[in-house]
Amino acid sequence: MLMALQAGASGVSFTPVPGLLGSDLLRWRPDFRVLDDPYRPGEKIVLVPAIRPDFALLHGRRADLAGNVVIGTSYDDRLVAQASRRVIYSVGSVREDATASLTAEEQVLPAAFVDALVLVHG
Amino acid sequence: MACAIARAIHDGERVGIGVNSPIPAAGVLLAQRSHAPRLRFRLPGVDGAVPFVGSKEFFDFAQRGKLDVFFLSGVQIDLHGSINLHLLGDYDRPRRRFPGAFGSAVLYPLVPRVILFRTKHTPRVFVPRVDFVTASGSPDRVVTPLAVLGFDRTAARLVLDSYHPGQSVETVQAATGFELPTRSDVCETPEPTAEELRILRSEVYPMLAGAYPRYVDRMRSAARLPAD
Repeated sequence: MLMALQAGASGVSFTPVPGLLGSDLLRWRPDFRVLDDPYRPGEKIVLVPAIRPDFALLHGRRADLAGNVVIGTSYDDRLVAQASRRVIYSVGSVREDATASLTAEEQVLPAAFVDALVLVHG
Repeated sequence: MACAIARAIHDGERVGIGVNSPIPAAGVLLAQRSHAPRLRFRLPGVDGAVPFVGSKEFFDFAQRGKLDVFFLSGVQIDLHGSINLHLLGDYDRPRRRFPGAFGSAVLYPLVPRVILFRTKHTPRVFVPRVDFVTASGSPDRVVTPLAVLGFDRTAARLVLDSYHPGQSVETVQAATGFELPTRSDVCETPEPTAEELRILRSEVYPMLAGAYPRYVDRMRSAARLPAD
């Protein structure tokens, strides 16, 4: 799924995914294709369609006045935001210096990826 | 179970531990504090190291062949080592549904040593054929409360490596829903040593108490240890 989101984020229609062979997922997902790997003779590779969510509802820690959002690094929210057609972020606070200092577990998502910000209290 | 997992880990290996995996977490931390000080591992919520950026970075790492060991489990585990994390019954009309693969279908065939663990060892768990093959691969071993099962790669099937103290070849076979051949050197699993128990109780459980409070409580009350 992460690779399918990456394909969505990269604007391509599908992605090869390693592994998966032997799983019943291939039986029940006719849109997953098994091909001969053109670059590794004799090996099979699975192709899956890209995922492009219509919209994503995500929560960030805080945002600055330009709409840049500080998010955690432990989940794949950045990838979800990049793959989705519309992105709505909720944040706990909006302030000028929100992105001025980050911990090792924080990163900034540029405002370009964000369509709407919702300020939540509490 | 944690000791059986710890003994399966070699020094210097790169080990990944998924979510909801307290026993592998305890085993890996025990290994690191005993015979494998140069272990590198990813233990979300516990290890205190700089985290990978999302699961994507971790999966990419494994897909490039950089991960040596990973842990998986299944609602059902079959004779061939396939795991089922999807559903019980028929695909179109399941009796029960579960969260699904969460990457296991990718990691199981790719990671060189996949150790399966399951806290219940019954014929309903260890079945001849899983209802849905979420992921298949060649497990390094399967650790349960009764035994350690190995994998015969030639025959592509699980075999009995060792039975835990208090068990026997017969009791493990009776708890398994398919015929379980025994290795020629099948034996009793060595008891946890006093040193292993000391490390688990005084070092490992305190580290896991935040991420896995219920597991740590259960282990401590089983050992009649006071809570924090």
